[in-house]
Order: sequence, then structure tokens, then C-alpha cells
Amino acid sequence: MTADIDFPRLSVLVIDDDPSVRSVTSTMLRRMTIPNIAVAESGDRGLELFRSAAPPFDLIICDWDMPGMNGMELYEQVRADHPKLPFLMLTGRNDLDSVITARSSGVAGYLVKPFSSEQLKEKISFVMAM
Amino acid sequence: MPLPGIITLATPNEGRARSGLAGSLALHWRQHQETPALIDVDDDPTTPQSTGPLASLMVKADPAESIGALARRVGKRRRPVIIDTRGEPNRATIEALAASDLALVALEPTASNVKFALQTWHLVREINATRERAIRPIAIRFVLLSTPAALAITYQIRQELKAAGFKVLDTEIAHLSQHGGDSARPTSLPRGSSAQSDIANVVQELEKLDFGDLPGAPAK
Repeated sequence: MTADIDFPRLSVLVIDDDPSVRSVTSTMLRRMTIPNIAVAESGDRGLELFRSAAPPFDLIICDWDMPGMNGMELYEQVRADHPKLPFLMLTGRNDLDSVITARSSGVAGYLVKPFSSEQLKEKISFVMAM
Repeated sequence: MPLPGIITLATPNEGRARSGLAGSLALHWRQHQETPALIDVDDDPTTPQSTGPLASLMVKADPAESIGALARRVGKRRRPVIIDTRGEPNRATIEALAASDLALVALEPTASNVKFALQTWHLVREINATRERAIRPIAIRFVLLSTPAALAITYQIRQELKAAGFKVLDTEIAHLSQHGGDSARPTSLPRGSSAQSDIANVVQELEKLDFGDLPGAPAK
């Protein structure tokens, strides 16, 4: 009972300071037939891409712990203008406090690294359907 | 099987489950010589204690203490602790779920209620993936509230949920008592009523779940 998401029409912004995570995530997204994928190596660059995107991104997939602006700070900035935009937090934090903090702030989905392509797809389907 | 120590009841913001189910469960367990406690996450801590049938079961939240810490503290003396939550998960609801042995999600056969149930299921799964809960994951069960007019759609939704791997109680709640703050109301579920029978069936299913050796079980 998962929503049918039209993956070939999605445009996704991936933000992570780790080049290998950016690469693996982008590859997984392409295999899901998502054609429009942009990547950023920092929160600041991600916010810049997000604000200049036309048409806007449908989904942001973002790391939490990055030098400079972290994922939660980025989320707060994005939410101020786009409160309904699906935001998926990818993180190495697998502790209860972090899940409570992210989800109670409004982050739509939380996925702990490392993750499989199936886990990422299921999580995207969920956050896009909400 | 031991009773679950802490149960979070998650109900959508609208509908029949919004009030009544948590109180009915608490009253049932009290009638069966358990020591339930009821915490309402939306309760205003500054309002006076209710005088209704649930008054002796209610535990007031303390703004200085998280709902999870409160439930664990109360759970050392009483069992089960039922945390009543409603609507989109806020911090208190998520803390309640994180402290729970069981998340019971009540839903009516509507699209918005199913969406709510799936949201809660995903949230519980994320909590269960944490290192703190991975060794003792929260059990989650859906319970359907039905009406004679909605039997067909309730059946269909049950089948779809089960086919997708979600765990749904066999009992459908068709009758639910309301427990307001009116002290003139009875202090227990009316014996032999349909509402009592539905709740008893729900409890019977919950008591079959294996919660293992829960820490801090109160002596009976």
C-alpha cells in the first residue's frame, strides 16, 4: 500500500559533503528513472541551487552533518518559504534524540546511512505521498 | 504474556477514535485488577484535575518533564501506561512513541485516516532503526473503527493493509464509550455492553503479543 509516484517527472536536489554519497545516491536515483538530479557539496551551495531553480525541486535529500550550514539549518531556511516541500534527511546519526529532533521539526523522512536503493525508493515514495 | 508497559495510542485529529478509546482501554484494565495510568499529551497541565470516571487514572503532564520520562516514571508503579495522542505527530507524540512498547494506531476507513496510519508506521520504523530501540523495537498494530454503513470499505482497507504487510488487529471497534469529565457518569465500562465487548476483544489480542521481560514491571 504505497503511493504511485511518478519518478520520471521528479526533480531532486541531493546535498552531501561526501562525494561518494552524492555519487551513489545520484546513481540510485537515476536507476529509479528520476531524470532531473542536481547535487551540491554543502548546505550553502544547496540553498543557492534551491533558490535559483526554475522550476523548483520536488524533493530535497540532504545530509545532516556538514561543514558550514548543516542539514537542519538548511531545512529551517527552506521551510520558511516552502513549508510543504518534501525533505528527506540522510544521516549517520542513528540515535533517538536525532530522530525526535528532525521529525518534530517537520522533516518528512529520516534515513540512516548506509542505505539500500530499495530503502531510498521506499522513503522517497513515502515523503512524496505525504 | 506480560502487559505492555507503555502504550501510545495514536489517533487522527478527527473522528470517533479521537476520544474514548484510550479511556475505554484504561477502564477495562482497571476492571481487571490492573493498575493503568492515562496520560493525555494534549492536556493543559494548568487545568484542574478532571472529576470524571477517568480522574483516578489520569496522570498530569509536567511541562518540565518529557512525556517519555513521565511515562517511564509512572510505569514503575502502574501498568499499562496509556499515552493518548492525536493528530500529526509533534514532539510530545514522537517522544511518547519513542518510549513505548506498543503503538496502537486507530483508524476509520477513510483516506485521511489511512494516510495518518501510514505516517505513524513510518515514524515508528525510523524510531526502531535507532540504536536505542533496535534491540527492543516498538510493536505497532492498527485497529479499525467501523460502522455498519462502512463494512465493505472497512473490509477492503483491512485486506489492502494486510496484503501490504501491515499488522491489523482482527477486532473492529464498532462501539465506543465516551468518557467526559462528568462525575455523574459511571466509573467503569457498562458490563455486557457492545462497547465493553469490543474493548475486551482488542485487549485480548494485545495481551497475546509478546513483550518479553519488560524492565521496571510493577509488583502486583
